[in-house]
Amino acid sequence: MTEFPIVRRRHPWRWVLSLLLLALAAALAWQVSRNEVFDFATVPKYMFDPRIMSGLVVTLYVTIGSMLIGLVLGVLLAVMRISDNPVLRAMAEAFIWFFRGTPVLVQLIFWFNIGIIFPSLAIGIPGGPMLFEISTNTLMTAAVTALLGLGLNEGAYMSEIVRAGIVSVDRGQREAALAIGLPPQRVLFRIVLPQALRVIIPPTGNQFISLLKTSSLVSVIAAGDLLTQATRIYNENFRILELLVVASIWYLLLTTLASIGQFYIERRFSRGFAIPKSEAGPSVLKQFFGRGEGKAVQQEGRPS
Amino acid sequence: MNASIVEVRSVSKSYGEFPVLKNVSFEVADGEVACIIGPSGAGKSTILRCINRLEKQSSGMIFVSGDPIGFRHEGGKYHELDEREVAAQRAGIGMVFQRFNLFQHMTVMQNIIEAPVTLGRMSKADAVEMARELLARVGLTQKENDYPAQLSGGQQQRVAIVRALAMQPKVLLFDEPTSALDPELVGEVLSVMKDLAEAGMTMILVTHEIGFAREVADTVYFMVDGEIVEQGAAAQVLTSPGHERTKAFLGRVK
Repeated sequence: MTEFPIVRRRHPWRWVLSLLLLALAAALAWQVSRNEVFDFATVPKYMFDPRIMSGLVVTLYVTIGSMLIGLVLGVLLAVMRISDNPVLRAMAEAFIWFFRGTPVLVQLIFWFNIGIIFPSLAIGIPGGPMLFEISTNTLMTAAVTALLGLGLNEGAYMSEIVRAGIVSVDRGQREAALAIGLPPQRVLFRIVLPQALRVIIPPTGNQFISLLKTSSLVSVIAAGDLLTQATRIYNENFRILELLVVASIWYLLLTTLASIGQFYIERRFSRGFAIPKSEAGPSVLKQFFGRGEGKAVQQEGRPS
Repeated sequence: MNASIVEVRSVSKSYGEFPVLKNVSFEVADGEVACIIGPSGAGKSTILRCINRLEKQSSGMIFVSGDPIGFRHEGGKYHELDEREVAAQRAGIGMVFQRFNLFQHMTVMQNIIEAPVTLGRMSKADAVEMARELLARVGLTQKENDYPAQLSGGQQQRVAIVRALAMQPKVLLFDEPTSALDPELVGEVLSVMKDLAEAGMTMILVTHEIGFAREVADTVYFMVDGEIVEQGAAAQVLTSPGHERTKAFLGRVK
């Protein structure tokens, strides 16, 4: 027995609302299941179809590849934008202005057709011999176009995220690093960027998930991704919705995995900033149903 | 006194039209402890930050061990150095900040050995050994694996002093090292600074701790509106100031 017995608030309306939602979901499921046109058997049949599998690989490769291009480009552009050099600043700003200002779908189609104006790409000495020459259409396969188109576009967005991260790091960190004699590059890569990551990672995870789905745009240039493959199959069997469901399940699975990955990466990069577990709120489920599960009161002792 | 370690010669600086430093000159000898005092906005921190070129003066020159900071003397002219070369000069000048500025993502040990190791001053093993010795000197033996956020302000500032010492600087600059501390933590930082002074470290400090200045400083400079209005032996300036502004200031802070 405690001296001050406490009765926590109850939340009856939460129960009412959840029952209502469950009822709605059940009604929807019943409607769909009774539909005779939608063929449920098609979905599992094509889940692991070799063409879908190859599409999955292309989607992953295009997404990860263009994200890597975007990250490198983003850091480069962000550093250019905050540099003292006005020429570099202007270059970065022009790049961002252009790639954020035009639709990525237009960019993809543009790169895919670049061979029309530049039939071949060559490295050579002006007025002298050609050292290297390649037909644009040989080089710019649909997959390369997809990487380039999405990667350049991603770089423009990532640069803003990276810049926000760099700006978020206390000025004193940079000053202390300079004062101790670290050269500017090391200050950036050892001191500022690692701390900026804490701010950069959450929106980057967002970008990655967004990119996973945006990568389906490359189906317009038949890059062979998940959506391209689903389209090819439903053009043969006319099971349009079923194959879109197959593709959607895979997209959902990938984005879920990406979210889980993001959680662990965030935790890794919050070293020195981590909130002790006891200070984080209870889980959603506990908040929902729990009684007497207020925010944990105990905090880790921290001298002030 | 010994030879000059730091020479500040006719340094002026202005932000646009507004002058923050007006023709400031002084010299600090090897092993000397110089205090710069004065009201806020007097340019005390600015002159300190010019000494390691975190700020650039508009005119005048600063020499540390005879080297013009931020410049190369050649053919009778001073040529501005690039950032990389300035970094090499800064490595010999330690600085301790008001807000500690420990690298938040690194442990105490990593904070201390980062510069000596990456700049190739010593091997990692040697750096760790030196860091442990220095931490013991400031009474923080058990803290090498803690992150800065786990330490009190006074502990953080002592680590910041160790970080600066690890580069074996010719001079240590202190920019209001105790102003951000809770009153009960000021003493532990001042005692470390006093030990350093007694060990012969050349120090320039901007401070509001007049008592500490009286006890430890050799020389005191009193600055107002970007100018040094009074200077001299600590005892003399602090106990029998000649200038009206100094008298008024000391009357207020005591």
